Amino acid sequence: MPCRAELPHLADLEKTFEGEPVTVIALLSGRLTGATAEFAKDCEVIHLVCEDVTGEIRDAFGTVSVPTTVVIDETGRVMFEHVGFDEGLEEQFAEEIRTLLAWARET
Amino acid sequence: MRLGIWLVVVVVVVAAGIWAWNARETAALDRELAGLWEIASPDTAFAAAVDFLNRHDNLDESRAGEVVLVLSNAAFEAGEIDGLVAVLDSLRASQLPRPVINRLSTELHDALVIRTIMSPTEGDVPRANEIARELLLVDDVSAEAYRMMASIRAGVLRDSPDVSDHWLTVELVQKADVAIAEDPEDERTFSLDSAYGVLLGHVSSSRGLDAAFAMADSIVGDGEDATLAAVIDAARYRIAVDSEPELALAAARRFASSGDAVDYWYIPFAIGRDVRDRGLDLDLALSLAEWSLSLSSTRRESALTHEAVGWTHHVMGDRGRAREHLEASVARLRSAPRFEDSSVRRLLEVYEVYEDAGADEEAVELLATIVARSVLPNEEACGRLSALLVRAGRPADDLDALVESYRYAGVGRAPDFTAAYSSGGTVSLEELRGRIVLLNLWSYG
Repeated sequence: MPCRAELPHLADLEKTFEGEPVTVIALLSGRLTGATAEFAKDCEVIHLVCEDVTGEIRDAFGTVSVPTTVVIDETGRVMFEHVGFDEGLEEQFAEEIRTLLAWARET
Repeated sequence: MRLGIWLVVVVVVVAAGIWAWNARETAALDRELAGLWEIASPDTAFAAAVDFLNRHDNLDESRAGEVVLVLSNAAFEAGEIDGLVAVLDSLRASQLPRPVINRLSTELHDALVIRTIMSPTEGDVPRANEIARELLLVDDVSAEAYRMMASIRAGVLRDSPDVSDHWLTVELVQKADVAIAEDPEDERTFSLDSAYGVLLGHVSSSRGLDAAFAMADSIVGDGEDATLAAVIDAARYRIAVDSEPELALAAARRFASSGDAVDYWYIPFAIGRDVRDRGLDLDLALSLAEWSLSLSSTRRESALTHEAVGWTHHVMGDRGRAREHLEASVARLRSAPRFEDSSVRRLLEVYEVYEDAGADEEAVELLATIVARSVLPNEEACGRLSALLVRAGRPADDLDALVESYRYAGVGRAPDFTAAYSSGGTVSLEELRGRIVLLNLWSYG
């Protein structure tokens, strides 16, 4: 399941950019309880999880399927978006964050 | 006389009292039922729904169905398929009314089939089949429930080597046609296509094309059911196209003339794309692609069908229409266009193949946007952009400045939001200005 495959990589991304102005958020459709909470704990991402209980935020982003990963720059622009997850995509996310950090330093 | 009048008054007063009491009880029941939907925690909602069913053992089917929906939604949300199966099993063994038990059984069937993906258990499919056969004999299950069962089976059990699994799926969609439904036509085309497509595919693989076509003929019968006839023709195309392309083409042409009988975009889209890519009949491919575009409703569907129409026009040599539809497709992509997006590559080919198309500026814009937002080196895109600049008589030195100017082309702002961390506290995008944010939207199920 792509959502579950991606989640462990979020913790790695957070560690990679520790000390940098980067925030990683795992926005869950629904509430974090039961098996979902156990899974998030196992992936060491439970501190990154926010709850989108009604799906309002997901709708605001126009997201049709999950996982969807959106990379937003320092001014709030949606610079990159990925629907789905394949192993290796986490490297792409890291490069995108590095690129946006570099562009932010230029301005 | 006076006694008679008093008797009538007493009867009326008592009847009114009973009516008022019933109305109060019903209102309280509905309030409690509405309250189940308000429970935020899936675990709590699950327990509350089970408790509600046990306390109100005389529910009408509509209310019972609603409670079962709360229960299974909560279980799926919490990822508790095993728990759902256990609870449904115990509720089915209780003294609840038969319509409620049957409603529970549909959910149990679906949970058992889905569990074969998540945590396979050997006995799940035989149990699911047994439940499906029981439900085929009752008259109080809705059409929607039968179609859901069939759709889940067609997806999850597609590769089952047992033809009886596929026949059972077909029987469920047939039963849906005679069951009571709020919207009898909702997803009918999709569920018929799923069930019969899997069945005929299995028969073709195991017993040969002739056997599958003979079965298809018997299924269609006198052809009075136009939607059924159409999806059977779609299935004929898929199973015949590799070995008997003329037979397949005949089926595709019949399918293309089925008009309003088909309301599901993906079937004409997929067949049209295949007909085009095999070079079988480009006019037919275009007709199917345009039909799928007319049926598309979401942005993603529209992007895919515009691409299909555009590329078919390109293959047929109509560069103007090709460009129009491919540009429409690319415009519907949500994020920065990527070189890997098929609609982007196709549009670039249209821009660049026809040198007199006068599309150099548009090609430069598209490539510059791609290069600007390629975080990993994209030498192919860079190379093509440089070549275009040279062709347009612009100095190659322009490249870096050009690319930088497209860095934010077509970029939109993220909608502001505030969300609660599960561990406490909140976060808002507004407060995160100045930081790069990676936002992952996910679910457990």
